[in-house]
Amino acid sequence: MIQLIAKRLGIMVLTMLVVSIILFLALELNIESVAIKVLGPYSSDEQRQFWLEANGYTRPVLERYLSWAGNFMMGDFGESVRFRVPVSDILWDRLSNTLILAAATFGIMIPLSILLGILSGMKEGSFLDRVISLICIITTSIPEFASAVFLSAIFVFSLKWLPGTSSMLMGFDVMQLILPAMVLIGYGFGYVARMTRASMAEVMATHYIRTAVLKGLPYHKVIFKHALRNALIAPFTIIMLQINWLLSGVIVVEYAFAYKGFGALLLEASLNNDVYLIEACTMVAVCAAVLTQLIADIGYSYLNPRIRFS
Amino acid sequence: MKNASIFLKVFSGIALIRESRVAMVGAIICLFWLFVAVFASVLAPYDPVSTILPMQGPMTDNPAGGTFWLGTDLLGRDILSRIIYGTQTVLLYAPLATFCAYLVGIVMGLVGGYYGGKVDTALSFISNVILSFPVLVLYILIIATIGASGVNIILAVTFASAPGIFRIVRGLTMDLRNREYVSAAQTRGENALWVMFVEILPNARGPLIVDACLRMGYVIITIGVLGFLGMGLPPPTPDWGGMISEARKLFLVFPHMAVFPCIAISSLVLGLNLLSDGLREISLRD
Repeated sequence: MIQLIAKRLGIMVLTMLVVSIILFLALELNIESVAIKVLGPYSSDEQRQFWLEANGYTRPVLERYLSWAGNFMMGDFGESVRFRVPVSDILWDRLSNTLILAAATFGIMIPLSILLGILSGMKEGSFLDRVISLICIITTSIPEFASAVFLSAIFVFSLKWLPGTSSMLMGFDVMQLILPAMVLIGYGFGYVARMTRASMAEVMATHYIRTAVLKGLPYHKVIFKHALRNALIAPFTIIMLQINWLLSGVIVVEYAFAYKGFGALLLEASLNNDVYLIEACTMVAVCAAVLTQLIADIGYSYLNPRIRFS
Repeated sequence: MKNASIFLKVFSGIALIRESRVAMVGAIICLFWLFVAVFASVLAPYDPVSTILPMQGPMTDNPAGGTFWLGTDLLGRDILSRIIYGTQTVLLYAPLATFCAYLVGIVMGLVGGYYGGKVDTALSFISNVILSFPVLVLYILIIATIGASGVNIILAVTFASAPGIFRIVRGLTMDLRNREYVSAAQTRGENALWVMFVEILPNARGPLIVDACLRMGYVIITIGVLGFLGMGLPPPTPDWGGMISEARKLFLVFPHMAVFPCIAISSLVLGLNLLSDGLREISLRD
């Protein structure tokens, strides 16, 4: 087990290394544009060259990469040209905002989707199953930006219940969190529910469930004591992998509602060729994605005795 | 004779869809949008890029005759016509991008799965690196680096989706390469390309067709998202995502500008999802 984790962590570090190098080289292709973004489109070539030189962008790529990587390890992520402050000053702030949004989303989405998945997987083909499956497939077909539009049309434009933007300029406000979370939940819950349903339906068809029913156990006991434990193994993995999806989802939602989070930061950084900010954000995103995958794998083998003991 | 049997196979494949009501509904929705795209010039009441009368609500009459069924946008273009012509854009770029991604993914997967060993390890590592990005982050980084245009969107989709397809094809190939008909072909002395594309690939088609429908839905969403984030096709092109993006600033005053393109995109994705769901159901049945 420890060997597996060590190996996976090693691969993760290697992945991040490769990603950071590729990013550095890709952004190198139009390094000129960094100067243009900072100095404006009407700056002269000389000014741009001077700026690049003054800020150390003309040093060889390798040297710059190594010094950046060294600093990165020490927790110094460089300076953002867009915000003109050290990257770490904004990064953690934005990240914690996104964590709040993610926590609100997951806190509601996971119980909801597991409940729906179990209800519909319990009796495959029943009326309830059909209704839930239909709802799930419809909601997963509506992309986040579309549901952002629909929900704002209802709750902001027509009913005027909720604020249309979530920039939180006046401090934290739960009302402003509702719409972004709703959009993320709406798009995400269907997938988890469908996976839970498939896993539940599979378990319900096994011999031990049939035995439990035939020996006269009350139905709720069959579900809670026998079916659930095995039916929830697969959804666990899916849920962990949803974190990767959420990182994409927050970009759209934060942009749509002007929420000051990590996704919006990453988008802004990419649109402004803010090299160090992009690097730092991407490292965080890749790290989160790979770590959750690792946790999913470990958790899966831990939860599933057939794998644990083989 | 051989041609006839291929036609028969394709036809019976299409006829299979009738076995699942879900797949039928999905296919009808998709065919509807395909019809709209093909006959756009007949169906659209106005020119999609000409300025007529700005900011009209749905169902208002055009003083010059006719009706703006879905209203007009901030530049005075008829929204219904733009949605109709936008169908052409979506149904050109999404299948093309999906096709390119499949081409690359299938070749990678066949080679990796068939040969195994170092080639496979290298290909797997590359795809793992790409797959470790949150998808949208990858798209944004690519488009921000190479710029927003139709070709670049296809490139970005290919780059970001091929690894996922690679994984599926690789798994299927590793399963199929030990079958007897593959050994038979090898013993016959067929070359590796023949074995991969004639013996293995056609037998892996089932899961691939299901995945292709699903993936096409994702690609449509992705193109929409890129348009929404302002990284989509350049402006005068009628593009659903771009229409939503333009409407964003005025959303709280004129929601109709954004709502209708959103309905269009959601329904098309729903059609594809239903189709892939139904197809999976059919393929699991036998």
